Amino acid sequence: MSALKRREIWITITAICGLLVIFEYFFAIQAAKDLSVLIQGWAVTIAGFAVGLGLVNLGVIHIKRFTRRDANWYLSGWLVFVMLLVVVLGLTLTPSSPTYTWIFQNVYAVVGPTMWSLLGFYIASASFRALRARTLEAGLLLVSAVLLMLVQAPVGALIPYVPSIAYWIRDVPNTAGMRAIILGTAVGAIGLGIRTLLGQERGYAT
Amino acid sequence: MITPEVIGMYVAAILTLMIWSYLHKESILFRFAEYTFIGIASGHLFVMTVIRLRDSVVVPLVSKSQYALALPVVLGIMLYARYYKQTEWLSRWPLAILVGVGTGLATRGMIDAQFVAQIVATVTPKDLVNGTIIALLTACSLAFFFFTREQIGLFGKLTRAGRMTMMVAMGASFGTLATTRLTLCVDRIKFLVSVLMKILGM
Amino acid sequence: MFIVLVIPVVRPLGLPLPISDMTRESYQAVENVPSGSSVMIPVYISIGLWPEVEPGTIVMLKHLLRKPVKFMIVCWAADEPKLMEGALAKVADFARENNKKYGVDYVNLGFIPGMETAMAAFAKDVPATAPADTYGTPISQLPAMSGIKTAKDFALILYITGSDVAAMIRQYVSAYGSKMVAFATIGWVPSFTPYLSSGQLVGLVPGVTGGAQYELLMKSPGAGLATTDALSLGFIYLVILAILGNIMWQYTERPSLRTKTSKEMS
Repeated sequence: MSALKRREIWITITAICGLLVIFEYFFAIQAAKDLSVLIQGWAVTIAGFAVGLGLVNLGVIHIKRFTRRDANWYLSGWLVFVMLLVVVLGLTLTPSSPTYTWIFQNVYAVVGPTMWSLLGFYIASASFRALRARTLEAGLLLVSAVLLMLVQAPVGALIPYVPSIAYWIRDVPNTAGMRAIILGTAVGAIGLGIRTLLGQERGYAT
Repeated sequence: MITPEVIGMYVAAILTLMIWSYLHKESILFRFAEYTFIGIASGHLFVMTVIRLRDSVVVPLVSKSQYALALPVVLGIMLYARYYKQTEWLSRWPLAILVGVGTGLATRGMIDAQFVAQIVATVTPKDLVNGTIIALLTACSLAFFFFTREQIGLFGKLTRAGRMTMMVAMGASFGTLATTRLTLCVDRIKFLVSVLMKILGM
Repeated sequence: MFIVLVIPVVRPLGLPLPISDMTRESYQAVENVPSGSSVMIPVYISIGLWPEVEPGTIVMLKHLLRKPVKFMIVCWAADEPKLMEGALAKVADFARENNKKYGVDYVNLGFIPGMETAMAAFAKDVPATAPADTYGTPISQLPAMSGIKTAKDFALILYITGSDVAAMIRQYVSAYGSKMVAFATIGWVPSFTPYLSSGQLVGLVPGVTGGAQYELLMKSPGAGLATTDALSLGFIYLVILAILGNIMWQYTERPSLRTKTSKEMS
């Protein structure tokens, strides 16, 4: 039984699954393709079960806070209550039911965008306080930001030369910079992928 | 007349103002709305996942006798063994499959999509003038990331050009990010104005 | 800033909006989908960012409903099936006018967990990865799904996203040579231009601005156009703040200038 607990086993499983998926991409061997389809199907099912791990963690943390009367314990109780309510409604009435849709549209789909919109007000503050042209590079950042912002709205088209300069900035220097980032991260990610498949990176299972 | 739509509209408006109360200071109102959001988000995620697993695994397994689907279900359940110290090792097997498949898929695709295709696009541009500028600036930006060599002399000039290119790219990202946030502000303001107009009977 | 944004919401300015090449190419890509083809609409966007792509999504759905094509929606996160259900409800009248029916001409396949693993599995074997739609109806009972086996069976992919497009490019464009248009939040546009320039994306519709431009091309004004006016004033406000901030910094906090001013005074 202790042999099954050895880390060499799960490192080997990782390597076999990863190398199979890479192998069938480059070589047209039907048996490899069929096996790859099978394993990918398993991975989708396992990913579905993995979603529950985070939810269990969240539930346990907030139930502990509620029972121990920690800071904001009443809010933790409310969170668990809302979570269970949504689960019961969703599984009994289905997510298409009017009640579930009401909660989704009038609570969930309202609070989410509103939280993101808070940053809009802070960006206004940042524009006044933090966007400083201290150096040439900072000045380039400021000019690029201003032009790309203006061109997103009708007002940008009313100012002469703004659209052509802004689109040139987006299509030439911005593309060059982003392409360098894409190439750099690709090299790094391929290296990390190979290290993971060779068993050198084991952080995911500790 | 009080209908679910009218109640929903008022609930949405109140929640919007509760979240925006954070602009004044963090308060119990903001935290209440925040915890409500997290509760609904996690409950919704659970519901949608269970429904997907029911339709794609449980129903075929039970009603169509596709017993081969039992193995991934067992592997999925093994993930929860991590909560007990004695059985924690069992959760590493399905995790290994998940990581192996994910890593293999990402690595094989990246070689073409984000490496070869991008290099080909750099050296074979559609527009000769702008394409040459892109190629030169891309090379300078890549040089900027060579931290193992001292950035002086000609190499230093190239890396400076690369740094300026990155700043332009970061500026473009900031400008467009500001647009996104502003769009969401406008959306919420439009909603609140429409609620106010309904209350005033306009 | 609140006041600056409220004014154009209450009294629209009616500023003309030019149409960018990016949006025009995207519109053309959808227009060129052959009759009888199938289009895939994968969605991966956080609920918080949905208002930005919603106008573009609705007008894109109208474009597809106007054409003799089928489309299927598939979601890589849990929020999107309900969001797309809402979008389909908003175009339900338009679908009826064009004799389009759910299940026959379009389908919402719902949420498939696993992100890139789900993307790859779906591309390889659509019926096995999504055996039922979001309402639990087996796809064998949905005529819209007949003949769809792999990613090769889609004439075009319209990816609605608030995140990186790289995973979809890896699993669809590189692996199957699929043609893809991204309906992305504006914040991601600078990151996607390398893919546009390399031809890996055939079109890119940037957020609410792109949605507004698409509405103009479709001659179907909607929420997108209603938002761009307010954006104009908002941007002018931010630019004025940035300029004012820099001017004030030049004359108050920069040490050399302060010294120069005191020397001149003595």
